Amino acid sequence: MSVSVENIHKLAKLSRLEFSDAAAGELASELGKIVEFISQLDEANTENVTPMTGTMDDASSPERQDTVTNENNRDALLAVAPNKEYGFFKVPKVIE
Amino acid sequence: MSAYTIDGYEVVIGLEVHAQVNCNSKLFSGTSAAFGAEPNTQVNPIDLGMPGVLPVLNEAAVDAAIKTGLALNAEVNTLSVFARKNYFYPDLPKGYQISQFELPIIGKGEMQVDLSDGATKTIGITRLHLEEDAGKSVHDIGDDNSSHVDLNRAGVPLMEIVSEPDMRSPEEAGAYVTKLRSILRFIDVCDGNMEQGSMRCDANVSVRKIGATEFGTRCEIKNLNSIRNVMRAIEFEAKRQIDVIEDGGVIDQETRLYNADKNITRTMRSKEDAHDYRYFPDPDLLPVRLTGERITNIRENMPELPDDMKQRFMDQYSLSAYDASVLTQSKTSALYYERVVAEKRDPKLSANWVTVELFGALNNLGKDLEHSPVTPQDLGELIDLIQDGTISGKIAKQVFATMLETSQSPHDIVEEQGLKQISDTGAIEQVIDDIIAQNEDNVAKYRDGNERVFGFFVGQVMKATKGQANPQVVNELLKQKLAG
Amino acid sequence: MSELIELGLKESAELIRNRDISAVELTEACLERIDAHNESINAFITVASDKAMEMAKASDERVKEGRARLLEGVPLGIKDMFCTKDVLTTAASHILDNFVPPYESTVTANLWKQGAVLLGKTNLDEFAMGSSNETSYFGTSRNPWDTTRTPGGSSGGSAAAVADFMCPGSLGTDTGGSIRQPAAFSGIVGMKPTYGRCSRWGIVAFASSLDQAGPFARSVEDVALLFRGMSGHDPLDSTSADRPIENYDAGLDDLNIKGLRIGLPKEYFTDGIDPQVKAHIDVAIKNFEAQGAELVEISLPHTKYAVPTYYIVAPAEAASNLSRYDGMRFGLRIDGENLADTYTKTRSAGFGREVKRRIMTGNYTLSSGYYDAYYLKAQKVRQLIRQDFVDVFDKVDVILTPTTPTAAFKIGDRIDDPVTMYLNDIFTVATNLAGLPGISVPAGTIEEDGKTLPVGVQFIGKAFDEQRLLQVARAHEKMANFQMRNAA
Repeated sequence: MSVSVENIHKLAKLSRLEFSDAAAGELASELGKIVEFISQLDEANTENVTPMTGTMDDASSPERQDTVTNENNRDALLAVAPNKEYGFFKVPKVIE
Repeated sequence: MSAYTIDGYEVVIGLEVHAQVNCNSKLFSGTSAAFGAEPNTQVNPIDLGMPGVLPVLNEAAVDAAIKTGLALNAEVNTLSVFARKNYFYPDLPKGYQISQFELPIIGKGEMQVDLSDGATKTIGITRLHLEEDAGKSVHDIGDDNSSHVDLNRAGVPLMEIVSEPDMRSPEEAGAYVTKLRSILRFIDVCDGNMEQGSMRCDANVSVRKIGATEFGTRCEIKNLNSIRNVMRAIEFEAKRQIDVIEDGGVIDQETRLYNADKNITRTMRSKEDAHDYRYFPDPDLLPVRLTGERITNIRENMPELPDDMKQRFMDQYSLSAYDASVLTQSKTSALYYERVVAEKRDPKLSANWVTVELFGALNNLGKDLEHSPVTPQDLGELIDLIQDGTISGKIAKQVFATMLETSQSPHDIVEEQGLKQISDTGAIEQVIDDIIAQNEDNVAKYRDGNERVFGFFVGQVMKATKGQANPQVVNELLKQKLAG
Repeated sequence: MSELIELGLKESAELIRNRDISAVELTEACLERIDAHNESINAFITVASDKAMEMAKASDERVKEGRARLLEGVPLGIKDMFCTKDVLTTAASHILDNFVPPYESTVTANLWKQGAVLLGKTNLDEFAMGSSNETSYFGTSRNPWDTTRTPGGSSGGSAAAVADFMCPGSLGTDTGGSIRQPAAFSGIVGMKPTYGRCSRWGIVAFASSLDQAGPFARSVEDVALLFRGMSGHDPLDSTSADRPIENYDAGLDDLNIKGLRIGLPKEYFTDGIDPQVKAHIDVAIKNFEAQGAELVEISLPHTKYAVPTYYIVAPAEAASNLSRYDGMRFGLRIDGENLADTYTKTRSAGFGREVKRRIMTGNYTLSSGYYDAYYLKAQKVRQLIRQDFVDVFDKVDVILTPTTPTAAFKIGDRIDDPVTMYLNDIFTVATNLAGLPGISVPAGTIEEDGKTLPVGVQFIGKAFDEQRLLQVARAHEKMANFQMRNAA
């Protein structure tokens, strides 16, 4: 199984990561090996098998009552932000 | 209704409506979901997607989805799964939105929409799922190179309601959104306020030659924040697509943004740039399993729905389909009418006063029914005064105008302004005798067969009685006296 | 001083409760040990000296007032994956190296309620992604038995700290073996509880459907006590099990080995196991047999798929879980020319190589067109793996396997080849995929390159049957001929 450098750059964009061409080449070969390794599953017979999403699939999601339990804690929460202004998180310009 | 076509094309429309669920707290956290707070004052570590935080589902949001599903005659899925929709955006704290993908809580359903000519059309519902809202990026404060993110909305519960591509005109699309909003308000799961964004609409629009069986390539139109804009955007988009095809081009499947000021749509994202959302079941949540008991319980406590109420108005009050449909467009108007019509008032007369006089007046005043200066009790009293002959219909309109201005009771207005109708034949005879005596020439004309002067005499009598004489009595007496 | 640091966890709590020693004394002794050894072992990323002393003093106050609790005054090392309020929490990543959480994980909160003392935050593979502690942004932690070797991973710092007597107990997290493997490599006891036993609230997420917190200590009894203090239902975690917690540290010796059915899965006894390791496992089996246990050869036929299944499920969940590290609301931000550039620069600088590799792998298997072939397929195989265990637990009470195929390997030996490194998890990952409890207990020591190295045996139990699992582990511990290293 081979993963191309082009593939790496596409995945990198999806992952919001960037790699130099050298690093991308190395990663392509590593990912190729990993993909080959995980492709072993092809041989497993999974006909009529229900996929498992967790180990507690037969339980139902707990639900909480619709009550407000949180007070305003803006100062403490914004304290760890890399950049903030006027009570907002300040981020690079969003264009769409 | 004649089919809506443009130059031999028909338009195919499917709608995706996002309705904010009326909940106190968010879909997966205990922070307030209220609108309009100071930025980032309604957030906690869960809403901010901080390391190690986990979601716990809001019971009321699940109940609202079930209730809506039942109101849309839809399948309620006893097993549904929350999935992660992965993409990066500053207003999406976790880098994924918790939504539902393969197994939504509500499956196929349908809804009757009412068209302006009184006809109805059935529109299919594809699905309804629960998901969390994103935050808000503000672009117009601070320096030019930055945006400011408020995450108060992040995590607020939404229902996404997806229709089948069953609509064929802007009017049908408008009627769909109107009806859906009315249902959501009747069952009290969403306030339906499109301006505040608690109800939002995206439209999938395509065109095809009349008679074609395949759908054309569709474009998704975003940012439709009023029913009027839904209709205008679809109309623009359909014409744009037809122009492209007629010029020999092809439609690209893409996401387009509607600009209401210019009434145009423009490309927001092409298919090549489409997100790869990498949906997968959220491992932080277990599947939602609904018991039959829970669904039955919600079904048994459902309020009356608009269609049922419309039918009841037609049966119980013998109203036309049109009147019944106008009155049941909102819970408020239906309730208002039922208060007016109580005490055995004439249903048709009451319906006219509510739909024509009251709604017309409120429309002119730019007020909604919740803020009407005329209470249903007072309007009912006014109708009583007409029905028992205390005032004429014409005087009633005059009284109503005062009611709108002063919110006074009709009794008081009639008393104060001395508007009681004169039905006493003796008093009216006296007036008529005086008028006949003063207008001998016209009496002669009438007796010569010129019946048009009859109107002149009616006018004189009404003028002399300041419009308060009972018109029927005036007519009869005049005829007798003029006959000689 | 060495007497104090050699005390076990339960013993310490009892001595403090009886006022034979004070929490302050014990905490000071641990801090001194850390001060002397952390430079070579690198077990702690953050030493919370002031906070530790403050908590120890409060413990001594409570003892005086007769209000001592279960873990009163016991100093603990906490893997730096647990959010600790007002104490730096890094996940051993540059992207979080300035993150001070405004909230506390449920598991650590449970421990503080029981009187335990936070000594500091222990080293780990970055975001727990690794089997050797070598991917830590803060440098690798080292094995006290031989500092040229790894203490294992990802909870390497937690294991090394306990093995080096810096603390009587510590917390780890186990996603594919990250508690049991370091326990085996470091000659201590480490347990991964049943999925859902310990709340995941406030633990930096790696792979949500596999992550589970668990205890390390130098004896089964101490692990049982720590487990009792940390576990329990939590309404903040939807996957937390609403099951009663027992007094796990009591009745550990009540097990009747006669008639105990021990499953030996043939797929776990392969040629790949180091013969010296194998010899110790054989002794452990014989010891049980001599006491009347019934040995049952069993088959877990889908075992060979466990590691590839794990390396689809875990990176996929991780890729999504790590999307929140974007430089917008907390953690590192490297400003770029625009929004997209800021995201990319922040994440590229903030994450290390292995973490990036896993994010890329995860996004590969989840991406459009590949989902069914990889992720969905893996979830189906995972079901088969779980079913293997369900079938087997009709016939046996507990399963016995080696914890790892070899003893601790040398730092730098395997880091360049991801697939070889991944195969290190071969005996531990199936337990996580099936959500079952597993424990590693020292089985003995071997000699390699003139160094004495510990070897571990793993027991796997039925879901929520930690009580019996701990009893079996305790029985093994009593029979095994394991000599812990000296503190000196």
